[in-house]
Amino acid sequence: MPPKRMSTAVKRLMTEYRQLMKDPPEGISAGPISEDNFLEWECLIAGPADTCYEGGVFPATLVFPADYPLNPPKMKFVPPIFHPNVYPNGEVCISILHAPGDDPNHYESASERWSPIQSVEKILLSVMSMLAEPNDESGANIDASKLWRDNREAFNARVRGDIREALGL
Amino acid sequence: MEDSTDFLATKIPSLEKFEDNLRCPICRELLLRAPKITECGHTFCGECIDRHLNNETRCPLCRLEVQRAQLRANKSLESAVEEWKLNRDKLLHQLTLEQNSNTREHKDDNEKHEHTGVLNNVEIQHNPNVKTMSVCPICSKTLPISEIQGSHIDTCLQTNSSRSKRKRPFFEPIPTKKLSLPFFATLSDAKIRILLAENGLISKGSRAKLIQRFQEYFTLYNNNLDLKTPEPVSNLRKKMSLWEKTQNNNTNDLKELDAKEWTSQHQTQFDELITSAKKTAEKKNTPEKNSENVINLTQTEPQTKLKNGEVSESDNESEI
Repeated sequence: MPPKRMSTAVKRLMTEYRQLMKDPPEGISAGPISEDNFLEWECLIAGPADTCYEGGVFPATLVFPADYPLNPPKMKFVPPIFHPNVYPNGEVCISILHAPGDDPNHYESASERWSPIQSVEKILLSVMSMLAEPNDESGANIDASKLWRDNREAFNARVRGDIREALGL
Repeated sequence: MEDSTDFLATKIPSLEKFEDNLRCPICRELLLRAPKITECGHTFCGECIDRHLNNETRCPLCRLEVQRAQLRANKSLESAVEEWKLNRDKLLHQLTLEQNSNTREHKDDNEKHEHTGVLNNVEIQHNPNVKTMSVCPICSKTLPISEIQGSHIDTCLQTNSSRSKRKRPFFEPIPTKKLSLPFFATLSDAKIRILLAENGLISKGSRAKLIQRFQEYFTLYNNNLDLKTPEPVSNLRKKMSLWEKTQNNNTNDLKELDAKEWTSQHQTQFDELITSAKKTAEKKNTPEKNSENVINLTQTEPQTKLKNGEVSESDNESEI
Protein backbone atom coordinates (compact mmCIF):
# COMPACT_ATOMS: atom_id res chain seq x y z
CA MET A 1 0.00 0.00 0.00
CA PRO A 2 1.42 3.39 -0.94
CA PRO A 3 2.05 5.84 1.90
CA LYS A 4 -1.05 7.76 2.85
CA ARG A 5 0.28 11.26 2.42
CA MET A 6 0.84 11.67 -1.29
CA SER A 7 -0.01 14.61 -3.45
CA THR A 8 -2.88 14.29 -5.92
CA ALA A 9 -0.39 14.68 -8.76
CA VAL A 10 1.70 11.71 -7.65
CA LYS A 11 -1.33 9.51 -6.94
CA ARG A 12 -2.83 10.25 -10.31
CA LEU A 13 0.51 9.65 -12.09
CA MET A 14 0.93 6.32 -10.28
CA THR A 15 -2.52 5.28 -11.50
CA GLU A 16 -1.70 6.34 -15.03
CA TYR A 17 1.61 4.48 -14.94
CA ARG A 18 -0.13 1.35 -13.68
CA GLN A 19 -2.69 1.55 -16.48
CA LEU A 20 -0.04 2.16 -19.14
CA MET A 21 1.84 -0.92 -17.96
CA LYS A 22 -1.28 -3.09 -18.01
CA ASP A 23 -2.81 -1.92 -21.23
CA PRO A 24 -0.11 -0.19 -23.28
CA PRO A 25 -1.16 1.56 -26.50
CA GLU A 26 0.73 0.54 -29.61
CA GLY A 27 3.93 2.38 -30.40
CA ILE A 28 4.17 4.09 -27.03
CA SER A 29 6.08 3.39 -23.88
CA ALA A 30 6.30 5.75 -20.90
CA GLY A 31 7.18 5.77 -17.23
CA PRO A 32 8.88 7.75 -14.48
CA ILE A 33 12.65 8.07 -14.79
CA SER A 34 13.07 7.19 -11.11
CA GLU A 35 10.64 5.86 -8.51
CA ASP A 36 11.62 8.74 -6.22
CA ASN A 37 10.26 11.41 -8.51
CA PHE A 38 6.99 10.69 -10.25
CA LEU A 39 6.91 14.18 -11.76
CA GLU A 40 9.56 13.38 -14.39
CA TRP A 41 8.86 10.78 -17.03
CA GLU A 42 10.69 9.39 -19.96
CA CYS A 43 8.86 8.09 -23.00
CA LEU A 44 9.52 6.48 -26.32
CA ILE A 45 7.38 7.11 -29.36
CA ALA A 46 7.54 4.98 -32.49
CA GLY A 47 7.27 6.89 -35.75
CA PRO A 48 3.84 6.24 -37.30
CA ALA A 49 3.70 3.87 -40.28
CA ASP A 50 3.48 5.34 -43.79
CA THR A 51 5.09 8.61 -42.75
CA CYS A 52 8.67 9.80 -43.09
CA TYR A 53 9.06 9.14 -39.34
CA GLU A 54 8.36 5.42 -39.80
CA GLY A 55 11.08 3.20 -38.38
CA GLY A 56 12.29 5.85 -35.96
CA VAL A 57 12.02 5.63 -32.18
CA PHE A 58 11.96 9.05 -30.55
CA PRO A 59 12.82 9.49 -26.87
CA ALA A 60 11.22 12.39 -25.02
CA THR A 61 10.83 13.67 -21.46
CA LEU A 62 7.63 14.74 -19.74
CA VAL A 63 7.87 17.12 -16.78
CA PHE A 64 4.69 17.46 -14.71
CA PRO A 65 3.73 20.49 -12.59
CA ALA A 66 3.00 19.98 -8.87
CA ASP A 67 -0.70 20.65 -9.54
CA TYR A 68 -1.04 18.05 -12.33
CA PRO A 69 -3.64 17.26 -13.72
CA LEU A 70 -4.95 20.81 -13.30
CA ASN A 71 -2.10 21.99 -15.50
CA PRO A 72 -0.41 20.15 -18.37
CA PRO A 73 3.11 18.69 -18.38
CA LYS A 74 5.84 19.93 -20.69
CA MET A 75 7.13 17.58 -23.31
CA LYS A 76 10.55 17.72 -24.92
CA PHE A 77 12.19 15.46 -27.47
CA VAL A 78 15.73 14.58 -26.38
CA PRO A 79 17.51 14.92 -28.78
CA PRO A 80 15.28 17.42 -30.64
CA ILE A 81 13.53 16.14 -33.75
CA PHE A 82 13.05 18.02 -37.02
CA HIS A 83 9.33 18.76 -37.19
CA PRO A 84 7.23 21.90 -37.85
CA ASN A 85 5.60 21.74 -34.39
CA VAL A 86 8.72 20.99 -32.35
CA TYR A 87 10.91 23.90 -31.25
CA PRO A 88 14.62 23.67 -32.17
CA ASN A 89 15.29 22.88 -28.46
CA GLY A 90 12.99 19.84 -28.67
CA GLU A 91 9.96 21.25 -26.85
CA VAL A 92 6.66 20.08 -28.31
CA CYS A 93 4.09 22.72 -29.27
CA ILE A 94 0.60 21.24 -29.58
CA SER A 95 -2.70 22.54 -28.32
CA ILE A 96 -3.36 19.67 -25.88
CA LEU A 97 -0.24 20.77 -23.94
CA HIS A 98 -1.41 24.38 -23.60
CA ALA A 99 -3.12 25.44 -20.38
CA PRO A 100 -6.56 27.04 -20.77
CA GLY A 101 -5.30 30.58 -20.27
CA ASP A 102 -2.24 30.36 -22.44
CA ASP A 103 -2.42 30.36 -26.20
CA PRO A 104 0.92 31.25 -27.76
CA ASN A 105 -0.46 31.32 -31.26
CA HIS A 106 -3.87 32.90 -30.63
CA TYR A 107 -5.77 30.54 -32.83
CA GLU A 108 -6.63 27.51 -30.72
CA SER A 109 -10.18 27.00 -29.55
CA ALA A 110 -10.60 26.17 -25.86
CA SER A 111 -11.87 22.72 -26.76
CA GLU A 112 -8.48 21.63 -28.11
CA ARG A 113 -6.51 22.69 -25.07
CA TRP A 114 -5.51 21.00 -21.83
CA SER A 115 -8.19 19.83 -19.46
CA PRO A 116 -7.63 17.79 -16.28
CA ILE A 117 -9.37 14.82 -17.90
CA GLN A 118 -6.51 14.48 -20.40
CA SER A 119 -3.74 12.01 -19.64
CA VAL A 120 -0.23 10.93 -20.55
CA GLU A 121 -1.72 8.38 -22.92
CA LYS A 122 -3.80 11.00 -24.72
CA ILE A 123 -0.84 13.37 -24.97
CA LEU A 124 1.37 10.70 -26.52
CA LEU A 125 -1.34 9.65 -28.95
CA SER A 126 -1.76 13.31 -29.96
CA VAL A 127 1.98 13.60 -30.47
CA MET A 128 1.91 10.51 -32.67
CA SER A 129 -0.78 12.03 -34.83
CA MET A 130 1.21 15.28 -34.84
CA LEU A 131 4.12 13.31 -36.32
CA ALA A 132 1.83 11.93 -38.99
CA GLU A 133 0.16 15.24 -39.75
CA PRO A 134 2.16 18.38 -38.93
CA ASN A 135 0.12 21.51 -38.36
CA ASP A 136 1.63 24.21 -40.56
CA GLU A 137 -0.59 26.91 -39.08
CA SER A 138 1.47 27.04 -35.90
CA GLY A 139 5.10 26.61 -36.75
CA ALA A 140 7.44 26.12 -33.81
CA ASN A 141 10.40 25.35 -36.06
CA ILE A 142 10.29 27.82 -38.94
CA ASP A 143 12.86 26.01 -41.08
CA ALA A 144 11.00 22.73 -40.74
CA SER A 145 7.66 24.41 -41.50
CA LYS A 146 9.04 26.04 -44.64
CA LEU A 147 10.67 22.89 -45.90
CA TRP A 148 7.55 20.83 -45.14
CA ARG A 149 5.38 23.27 -47.04
CA ASP A 150 7.67 24.06 -49.98
CA ASN A 151 9.71 20.93 -50.59
CA ARG A 152 8.14 17.81 -49.11
CA GLU A 153 10.70 15.51 -50.74
CA ALA A 154 13.62 17.34 -49.12
CA PHE A 155 11.77 17.39 -45.78
CA ASN A 156 11.17 13.64 -45.88
CA ALA A 157 14.79 13.01 -46.88
CA ARG A 158 16.08 15.16 -44.01
CA VAL A 159 13.89 13.34 -41.46
CA ARG A 160 14.88 9.91 -42.77
CA GLY A 161 18.53 10.95 -42.65
CA ASP A 162 18.15 12.00 -39.01
CA ILE A 163 16.52 8.67 -38.15
CA ARG A 164 19.27 6.68 -39.86
CA GLU A 165 21.89 8.72 -38.03
CA ALA A 166 20.15 8.17 -34.68
CA LEU A 167 20.06 4.41 -35.33
CA GLY A 168 23.78 4.52 -36.19
CA LEU A 169 23.30 3.33 -39.77
CA MET B 1 -3.25 0.84 -5.57
CA GLU B 2 -6.41 0.00 -7.43
CA ASP B 3 -7.93 1.29 -10.64
CA SER B 4 -10.62 0.35 -13.10
CA THR B 5 -8.25 -1.73 -15.23
CA ASP B 6 -8.31 -4.32 -12.40
CA PHE B 7 -11.43 -5.63 -14.10
CA LEU B 8 -9.79 -6.12 -17.49
CA ALA B 9 -8.40 -9.51 -16.44
CA THR B 10 -11.73 -10.77 -15.07
CA LYS B 11 -14.69 -12.62 -16.49
CA ILE B 12 -16.50 -9.32 -17.19
CA PRO B 13 -13.88 -6.93 -18.59
CA SER B 14 -16.52 -4.33 -19.45
CA LEU B 15 -16.81 -3.57 -15.72
CA GLU B 16 -13.73 -1.47 -16.34
CA LYS B 17 -15.88 1.06 -18.21
CA PHE B 18 -18.55 0.81 -15.53
CA GLU B 19 -16.10 1.60 -12.77
CA ASP B 20 -14.56 4.40 -14.80
CA ASN B 21 -17.86 6.22 -14.41
CA LEU B 22 -17.71 5.84 -10.63
CA ARG B 23 -14.35 7.59 -10.56
CA CYS B 24 -13.52 11.27 -10.62
CA PRO B 25 -12.26 12.14 -14.11
CA ILE B 26 -9.70 14.49 -12.53
CA CYS B 27 -7.99 12.42 -9.82
CA ARG B 28 -9.27 8.95 -10.93
CA GLU B 29 -10.23 8.02 -7.36
CA LEU B 30 -13.63 6.56 -6.53
CA LEU B 31 -16.23 9.33 -6.02
CA LEU B 32 -16.41 8.87 -2.25
CA ARG B 33 -15.37 12.31 -1.07
CA ALA B 34 -18.47 14.53 -1.31
CA PRO B 35 -18.88 14.37 -5.10
CA LYS B 36 -20.42 17.42 -6.77
CA ILE B 37 -22.46 17.59 -9.94
CA THR B 38 -22.21 20.49 -12.37
CA GLU B 39 -25.09 22.13 -14.21
CA CYS B 40 -24.02 20.22 -17.31
CA GLY B 41 -24.50 16.97 -15.37
CA HIS B 42 -20.90 15.85 -14.82
CA THR B 43 -19.69 14.68 -11.42
CA PHE B 44 -16.27 15.23 -9.81
CA CYS B 45 -14.81 15.07 -6.29
CA GLY B 46 -15.76 18.31 -4.55
CA GLU B 47 -12.10 19.15 -3.96
CA CYS B 48 -11.03 18.41 -7.52
CA ILE B 49 -13.66 20.53 -9.25
CA ASP B 50 -13.11 23.36 -6.75
CA ARG B 51 -9.39 23.44 -7.51
CA HIS B 52 -10.05 23.29 -11.21
CA LEU B 53 -12.44 26.25 -10.99
CA ASN B 54 -9.61 28.40 -9.58
CA ASN B 55 -7.93 27.80 -12.94
CA GLU B 56 -10.76 27.88 -15.43
CA THR B 57 -14.54 28.25 -15.04
CA ARG B 58 -15.44 25.52 -17.50
CA CYS B 59 -16.39 21.87 -17.11
CA PRO B 60 -13.29 19.70 -17.69
CA LEU B 61 -15.40 17.21 -19.67
CA CYS B 62 -17.63 19.31 -21.91
CA ARG B 63 -16.16 22.81 -21.44
CA LEU B 64 -19.49 24.42 -20.64
CA GLU B 65 -19.38 27.38 -18.27
CA VAL B 66 -19.51 26.24 -14.59
CA GLN B 67 -19.99 28.44 -11.51
CA ARG B 68 -18.85 27.28 -8.09
CA ALA B 69 -22.14 28.43 -6.54
CA GLN B 70 -24.12 26.16 -8.86
CA LEU B 71 -22.33 22.95 -7.89
CA ARG B 72 -24.58 20.50 -6.01
CA ALA B 73 -23.81 17.44 -3.94
CA ASN B 74 -24.48 14.23 -5.89
CA LYS B 75 -25.69 12.16 -2.97
CA SER B 76 -27.27 9.24 -4.83
CA LEU B 77 -24.07 8.62 -6.71
CA GLU B 78 -22.05 8.93 -3.52
CA SER B 79 -24.17 6.22 -1.87
CA ALA B 80 -23.93 4.02 -4.95
CA VAL B 81 -20.15 4.36 -4.97
CA GLU B 82 -20.02 3.55 -1.25
CA GLU B 83 -21.89 0.31 -1.89
CA TRP B 84 -19.66 -0.45 -4.84
CA LYS B 85 -16.55 0.13 -2.73
CA LEU B 86 -17.83 -2.23 -0.02
CA ASN B 87 -18.34 -5.01 -2.53
CA ARG B 88 -15.59 -4.24 -5.00
CA ASP B 89 -12.89 -6.52 -3.63
CA LYS B 90 -15.30 -9.40 -3.12
CA LEU B 91 -16.57 -9.02 -6.66
CA LEU B 92 -13.10 -8.72 -8.13
CA HIS B 93 -11.97 -11.76 -6.21
CA GLN B 94 -14.99 -13.78 -7.32
CA LEU B 95 -14.68 -12.79 -10.96
CA THR B 96 -10.98 -13.55 -11.03
CA LEU B 97 -11.48 -16.93 -9.36
CA GLU B 98 -14.18 -17.96 -11.82
CA GLN B 99 -12.04 -16.75 -14.69
CA ASN B 100 -9.04 -18.76 -13.49
CA SER B 101 -10.94 -21.94 -12.79
CA ASN B 102 -12.61 -21.70 -16.20
CA THR B 103 -9.36 -21.34 -18.06
CA ARG B 104 -7.78 -24.09 -16.05
CA GLU B 105 -10.57 -26.53 -16.86
CA HIS B 106 -10.26 -25.51 -20.45
CA LYS B 107 -6.54 -26.08 -20.54
CA ASP B 108 -6.83 -29.44 -18.81
CA ASP B 109 -9.40 -30.54 -21.36
CA ASN B 110 -7.09 -29.68 -24.19
CA GLU B 111 -4.14 -31.31 -22.61
CA LYS B 112 -5.96 -34.57 -22.04
CA HIS B 113 -6.45 -34.76 -25.75
CA GLU B 114 -3.11 -33.50 -26.91
CA HIS B 115 -0.44 -34.08 -24.33
CA THR B 116 0.93 -36.81 -22.16
CA GLY B 117 0.31 -37.04 -18.46
CA VAL B 118 3.79 -35.73 -17.68
CA LEU B 119 3.04 -32.39 -19.20
CA ASN B 120 -0.24 -32.30 -17.32
CA ASN B 121 1.58 -32.67 -14.04
CA VAL B 122 3.94 -29.86 -14.86
CA GLU B 123 0.97 -27.65 -15.59
CA ILE B 124 -0.66 -28.47 -12.31
CA GLN B 125 2.49 -27.91 -10.32
CA HIS B 126 2.94 -24.65 -12.11
CA ASN B 127 -0.48 -23.17 -11.58
CA PRO B 128 -1.01 -23.13 -7.80
CA ASN B 129 1.90 -20.79 -7.18
CA VAL B 130 0.49 -18.14 -9.44
CA LYS B 131 -3.19 -18.54 -8.79
CA THR B 132 -3.50 -19.00 -5.07
CA MET B 133 -1.92 -15.65 -4.31
CA SER B 134 -4.30 -12.78 -3.74
CA VAL B 135 -4.40 -9.29 -2.36
CA CYS B 136 -5.85 -8.72 1.11
CA PRO B 137 -8.73 -6.27 0.76
CA ILE B 138 -7.82 -4.54 4.01
CA CYS B 139 -4.06 -4.12 4.09
CA SER B 140 -3.40 -4.73 0.35
CA LYS B 141 -0.61 -7.23 1.06
CA THR B 142 -0.23 -10.08 -1.41
CA LEU B 143 -0.67 -13.36 0.45
CA PRO B 144 -1.77 -16.91 -0.32
CA ILE B 145 -5.55 -17.08 -0.57
CA SER B 146 -5.73 -19.80 2.06
CA GLU B 147 -4.04 -17.52 4.54
CA ILE B 148 -6.27 -14.55 3.69
CA GLN B 149 -9.41 -16.62 4.03
CA GLY B 150 -8.13 -18.15 7.22
CA SER B 151 -6.73 -16.08 10.03
CA HIS B 152 -5.32 -13.12 8.17
CA ILE B 153 -8.52 -11.13 7.52
CA ASP B 154 -9.59 -11.32 11.15
CA THR B 155 -6.29 -10.14 12.54
CA CYS B 156 -6.03 -7.55 9.81
CA LEU B 157 -9.48 -6.14 10.60
CA GLN B 158 -8.74 -6.05 14.30
CA THR B 159 -5.40 -4.28 14.02
CA ASN B 160 -6.76 -1.78 11.51
CA SER B 161 -9.82 -0.84 13.52
CA SER B 162 -7.91 -0.57 16.78
CA ARG B 163 -5.35 1.56 14.99
CA SER B 164 -7.95 3.99 13.74
CA LYS B 165 -9.46 4.17 17.19
CA ARG B 166 -6.10 4.93 18.71
CA LYS B 167 -5.58 7.70 16.21
CA ARG B 168 -8.32 9.87 17.63
CA PRO B 169 -8.31 9.27 21.37
CA PHE B 170 -9.47 12.77 22.29
CA PHE B 171 -12.51 14.51 21.04
CA GLU B 172 -11.50 17.20 18.64
CA PRO B 173 -14.31 19.59 17.72
CA ILE B 174 -15.29 19.55 14.05
CA PRO B 175 -16.08 23.00 12.68
CA THR B 176 -19.55 23.53 11.27
CA LYS B 177 -19.35 26.86 9.50
CA LYS B 178 -17.89 27.10 6.02
CA LEU B 179 -15.20 29.58 5.05
CA SER B 180 -16.08 32.27 2.55
CA LEU B 181 -13.71 33.10 -0.28
CA PRO B 182 -12.76 36.78 -0.07
CA PHE B 183 -12.53 38.95 -3.17
CA PHE B 184 -8.73 39.07 -3.27
CA ALA B 185 -8.49 42.04 -5.63
CA THR B 186 -9.80 44.33 -2.87
CA LEU B 187 -7.45 42.98 -0.17
CA SER B 188 -3.94 44.21 0.55
CA ASP B 189 -1.12 41.69 0.99
CA ALA B 190 -1.10 42.47 4.72
CA LYS B 191 -4.80 41.62 5.03
CA ILE B 192 -4.36 38.32 3.20
CA ARG B 193 -1.47 37.53 5.56
CA ILE B 194 -3.71 38.22 8.57
CA LEU B 195 -6.40 36.00 7.07
CA LEU B 196 -3.89 33.17 6.63
CA ALA B 197 -2.51 33.61 10.13
CA GLU B 198 -6.03 33.52 11.60
CA ASN B 199 -6.47 30.11 10.04
CA GLY B 200 -3.14 28.88 11.37
CA LEU B 201 -1.45 28.95 7.97
CA ILE B 202 1.97 30.16 6.85
CA SER B 203 1.76 33.85 5.92
CA LYS B 204 5.01 34.16 3.96
CA GLY B 205 5.56 34.35 0.24
CA SER B 206 4.55 36.36 -2.79
CA ARG B 207 1.01 37.69 -3.21
CA ALA B 208 0.24 34.98 -5.77
CA LYS B 209 1.47 32.30 -3.35
CA LEU B 210 -0.60 33.78 -0.49
CA ILE B 211 -3.74 33.66 -2.61
CA GLN B 212 -3.01 30.13 -3.85
CA ARG B 213 -2.46 28.99 -0.27
CA PHE B 214 -5.75 30.42 0.93
CA GLN B 215 -7.61 28.96 -2.06
CA GLU B 216 -6.17 25.52 -1.33
CA TYR B 217 -7.14 25.76 2.34
CA PHE B 218 -10.59 27.03 1.39
CA THR B 219 -11.03 24.02 -0.93
CA LEU B 220 -9.88 21.52 1.69
CA TYR B 221 -11.85 23.13 4.51
CA ASN B 222 -15.22 23.53 2.83
CA ASN B 223 -15.15 20.17 1.08
CA ASN B 224 -14.18 18.52 4.33
CA LEU B 225 -17.43 19.80 5.84
CA ASP B 226 -19.37 18.20 2.98
CA LEU B 227 -17.95 14.76 3.84
CA LYS B 228 -20.16 12.35 5.71
CA THR B 229 -17.55 12.14 8.45
CA PRO B 230 -15.52 15.36 8.38
CA GLU B 231 -11.94 15.26 9.58
CA PRO B 232 -10.65 17.47 12.40
CA VAL B 233 -8.90 20.69 11.43
CA SER B 234 -5.52 19.28 12.51
CA ASN B 235 -5.72 16.80 9.60
CA LEU B 236 -6.36 19.65 7.17
CA ARG B 237 -3.27 21.42 8.49
CA LYS B 238 -1.26 18.25 7.80
CA LYS B 239 -2.58 18.24 4.25
CA MET B 240 -1.58 21.87 3.92
CA SER B 241 1.98 21.11 5.00
CA LEU B 242 2.12 18.40 2.32
CA TRP B 243 0.85 20.97 -0.16
CA GLU B 244 3.62 23.38 0.88
CA LYS B 245 6.21 20.67 0.27
CA THR B 246 4.95 19.85 -3.21
CA GLN B 247 4.99 23.56 -4.04
CA ASN B 248 8.65 23.91 -3.10
CA ASN B 249 9.68 20.81 -5.00
CA ASN B 250 8.42 22.21 -8.22
CA THR B 251 11.74 23.57 -9.41
CA ASN B 252 12.28 21.03 -12.13
CA ASP B 253 10.20 22.87 -14.72
CA LEU B 254 11.63 22.86 -18.20
CA LYS B 255 13.28 26.16 -18.98
CA GLU B 256 10.92 28.52 -20.76
CA LEU B 257 12.08 29.89 -24.08
CA ASP B 258 13.46 33.23 -22.85
CA ALA B 259 13.00 35.93 -25.48
CA LYS B 260 15.77 38.16 -24.10
CA GLU B 261 18.27 35.34 -23.89
CA TRP B 262 17.41 34.21 -27.39
CA THR B 263 17.81 37.75 -28.73
CA SER B 264 21.20 38.24 -27.11
CA GLN B 265 22.43 34.84 -28.32
CA HIS B 266 21.45 35.54 -31.89
CA GLN B 267 22.15 39.27 -31.93
CA THR B 268 24.71 39.02 -34.73
CA GLN B 269 22.35 37.01 -36.94
CA PHE B 270 19.54 39.46 -36.36
CA ASP B 271 21.87 42.36 -37.19
CA GLU B 272 22.92 40.66 -40.41
CA LEU B 273 19.31 40.05 -41.37
CA ILE B 274 18.40 43.67 -40.62
CA THR B 275 21.24 45.06 -42.69
CA SER B 276 20.47 42.75 -45.60
CA ALA B 277 16.79 43.68 -45.36
CA LYS B 278 17.73 47.37 -45.42
CA LYS B 279 19.88 46.78 -48.49
CA THR B 280 16.98 45.01 -50.18
CA ALA B 281 14.73 47.91 -49.41
CA GLU B 282 17.26 50.37 -50.85
CA LYS B 283 17.80 48.32 -53.95
CA LYS B 284 14.09 47.93 -54.53
CA ASN B 285 14.17 51.57 -55.49
CA THR B 286 16.53 50.62 -58.34
CA PRO B 287 14.45 47.83 -59.91
CA GLU B 288 17.19 46.43 -62.23
CA LYS B 289 19.15 44.80 -59.39
CA ASN B 290 16.23 42.99 -57.81
CA SER B 291 17.17 39.56 -59.10
CA GLU B 292 20.63 39.72 -57.49
CA ASN B 293 19.11 40.30 -54.09
CA VAL B 294 17.01 37.22 -54.25
CA ILE B 295 20.11 35.14 -54.91
CA ASN B 296 21.94 36.79 -52.03
CA LEU B 297 19.14 36.04 -49.59
CA THR B 298 18.83 32.41 -50.53
CA GLN B 299 22.56 32.00 -50.11
CA THR B 300 22.65 33.37 -46.60
CA GLU B 301 19.69 31.34 -45.39
CA PRO B 302 21.25 27.86 -45.16
CA GLN B 303 24.05 29.29 -43.02
CA THR B 304 21.69 30.69 -40.44
CA LYS B 305 19.87 27.40 -40.45
CA LEU B 306 23.00 25.53 -39.54
CA LYS B 307 23.84 27.97 -36.80
CA ASN B 308 20.38 27.66 -35.35
CA GLY B 309 20.67 23.91 -35.23
CA GLU B 310 24.04 23.97 -33.49
CA VAL B 311 23.01 26.51 -30.90
CA SER B 312 19.81 24.73 -29.98
CA GLU B 313 21.65 21.46 -29.50
CA SER B 314 24.17 22.94 -27.11
CA ASP B 315 21.30 24.73 -25.29
CA ASN B 316 19.73 21.44 -24.79
CA GLU B 317 22.83 19.83 -23.32
CA SER B 318 23.32 22.59 -20.80
CA GLU B 319 19.72 22.24 -19.62
CA ILE B 320 20.09 18.56 -18.98
